Amino acid sequence: MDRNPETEMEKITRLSGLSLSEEEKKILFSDMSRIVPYMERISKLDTSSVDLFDESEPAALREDEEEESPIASTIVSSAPESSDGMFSVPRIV
Amino acid sequence: MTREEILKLSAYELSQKIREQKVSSFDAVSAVFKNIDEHESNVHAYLSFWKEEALQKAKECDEIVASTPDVSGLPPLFGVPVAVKDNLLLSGKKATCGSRMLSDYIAPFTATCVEKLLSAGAIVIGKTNMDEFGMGSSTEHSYFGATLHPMDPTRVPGGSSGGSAAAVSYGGAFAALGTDTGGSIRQPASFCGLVGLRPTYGSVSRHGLVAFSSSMDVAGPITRGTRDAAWLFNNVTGADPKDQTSAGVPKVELSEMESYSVSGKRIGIPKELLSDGNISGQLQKAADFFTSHGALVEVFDMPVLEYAVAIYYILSSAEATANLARYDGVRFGYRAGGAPEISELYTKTRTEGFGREVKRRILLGNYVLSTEHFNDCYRQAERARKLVCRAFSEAFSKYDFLICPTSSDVAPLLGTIDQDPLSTYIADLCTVPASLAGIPAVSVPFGKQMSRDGSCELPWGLQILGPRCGEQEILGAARFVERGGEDRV
Repeated sequence: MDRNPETEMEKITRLSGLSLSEEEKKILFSDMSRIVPYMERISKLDTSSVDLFDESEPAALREDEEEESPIASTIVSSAPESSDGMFSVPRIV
Repeated sequence: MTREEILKLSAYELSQKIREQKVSSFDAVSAVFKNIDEHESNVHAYLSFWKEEALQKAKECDEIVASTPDVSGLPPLFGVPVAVKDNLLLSGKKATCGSRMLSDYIAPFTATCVEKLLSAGAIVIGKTNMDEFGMGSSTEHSYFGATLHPMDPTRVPGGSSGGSAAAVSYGGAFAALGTDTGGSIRQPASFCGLVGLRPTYGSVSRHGLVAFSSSMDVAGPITRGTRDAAWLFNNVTGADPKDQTSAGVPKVELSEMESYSVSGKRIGIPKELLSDGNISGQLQKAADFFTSHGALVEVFDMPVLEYAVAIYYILSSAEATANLARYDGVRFGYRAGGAPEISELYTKTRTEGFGREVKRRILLGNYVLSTEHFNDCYRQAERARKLVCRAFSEAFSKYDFLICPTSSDVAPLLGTIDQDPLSTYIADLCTVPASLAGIPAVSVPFGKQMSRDGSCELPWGLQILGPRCGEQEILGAARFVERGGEDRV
């Protein structure tokens, strides 16, 4: 965590698309203040021998073929709000 | 057969009896629902089930058996009632993932592994409770309320597939599918005295498994015995064009499992997976058991595993953050009211839709992926994961399989597991290494152990880990344990 953990956590919360109550902040920020240092222990590990790109297995590829999706209308109609086969969202502009 | 006699059958035995017409599928499904009626209000293993529909399907199965001259052509699980975890899609049924976010979500298609179960003739009777999106190890983090341990309702059944384990344990299903990201099949199986197999990553398609951590998620069986575990695995495995990471792997030969012996086998115990570096209690008994049957058992060093929990939580939280970004109230699931502007809709929906543990993981994931920490945390964890894979490759060049406890403890009391999240994460030490390496691991019951408070004895699971595609070896060893090492059959 940086020198001002509170500020950093506020930023992370915004990035996460969340809005926390004061009570939740107290609990979750306190948890993070213990969890993050534990996770950051891995910086001690010598990983200089690893080349991620050398050791990654090549992904299995397939032809990019167009096909009909029989469930497209089901998916759109099960959205919280939809109309005319499209997802509805609040006015943006 | 009486209801009690039917419920004592394994799933495999039931399938044989159904085709021999010694037990009807209708009676088997009825027996299971009688148990559900008796236990469900106390245990809460299921989030949904469909009794009439299941009984109707059972009747149809029985009619087909009665009118089929050669039953050998019937699919293997014909008429056998099974349950599936609620993060596996079944078309037309709810798939809530234990979350408010998906509380009314109806699956528009069926997961490949569930489709395979259905094609194999199984009757899926319901969807089981789970920690929200698979994040948790007690099934207390379900929006719909906790599942309780069927043997002791003051305790948790483990998680996140706690509903699947509890249902199989009390006879609410003959077998179940769970999913395992960091131990979610193995740990509840251990707590409930069951067999839980985390298959090789990619051997079971993830298509239709609601994503938590895509590089580690895998579906697998929770069963009362090792034979059922292997049998279910054989029926859900296979490459799937809808999952790029899936691959065909060898099926398990059930007859070879029966004749398996540990005599002459080399077995390793990673020192870092022992709580104080020493073998104690049940694990010592397991080591003695293997040694007495002619195996060589030794403790060896795998120093990178000291970092396994940190590596796992960095990578799984980062992947969870990306996977859960799709829940924004627009395309599916919960949408918060009273948000006239789009960014407010996103934030309000996610804030109201996710529970606390999920929020904790999202925060951690965004922390390790943020510009300031990406290289030191996320990239470093990716590199460290390669070291874990190398360490396992080296270990399997020396040992046929590895053993360790599935969990450092038996099932804990309700409410105790969430008091300290970091300690709860660290308790996953024995299950996350196999997840990082993508190797198969099975938890098999190995007697009972006294709870920490000394109040009762509860099941304890021995974990057996093998190399990629090593299901035959680890299930053979698990079967040997289950048989108590009796002479080859």
